[in-house]
Amino acid sequence: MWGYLSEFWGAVSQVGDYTVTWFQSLGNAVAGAIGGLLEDLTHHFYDIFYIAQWFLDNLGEMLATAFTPLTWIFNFVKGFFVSATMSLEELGIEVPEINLISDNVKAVFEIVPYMNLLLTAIAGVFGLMIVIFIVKRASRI
Amino acid sequence: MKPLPPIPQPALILIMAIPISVVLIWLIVGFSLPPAYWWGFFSFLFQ
Repeated sequence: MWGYLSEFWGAVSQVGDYTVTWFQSLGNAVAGAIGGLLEDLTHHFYDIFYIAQWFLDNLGEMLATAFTPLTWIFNFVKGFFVSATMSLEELGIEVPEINLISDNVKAVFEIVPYMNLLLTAIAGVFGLMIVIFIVKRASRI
Repeated sequence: MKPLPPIPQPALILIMAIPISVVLIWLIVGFSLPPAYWWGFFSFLFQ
């Protein structure tokens, strides 16, 4: 047995020089063989997944094509309401400033001392009057 | 679906023993080789 093994090893070592590159190539070959074995096992599953992916992609495209008229109508209505409710500034249209009260008139009012306080008091009195009026009308019922 | 019958004991031992022994022999032979072999092996795997 040992004689046979030594003879075998002698035959192997006489074949040629076993360089570093040779051993690297051997490792490459073994890894490639294992990889190929796994590939053989998984290839069929990948094929099935690709078929399913292709089918679902086309199904989705068909549905999207079938719904294009509806999509157009929806987009048109949506765009209409969006643009209709947009302000002029959002649409990029310059709006000139309109002054109902001119600067001169404003200046006259600003001269009066405690104008803000007076306006507040007047508004408060008006509000109170409205509240009293509403209460009186409601109590009449 | 009907459950599969249990694998008989000798077949089970063979199913487990053959790959384990193959991998063990591969490891032993591989460790007796120069490191260039494993370098080549892993360089292929992570290329």
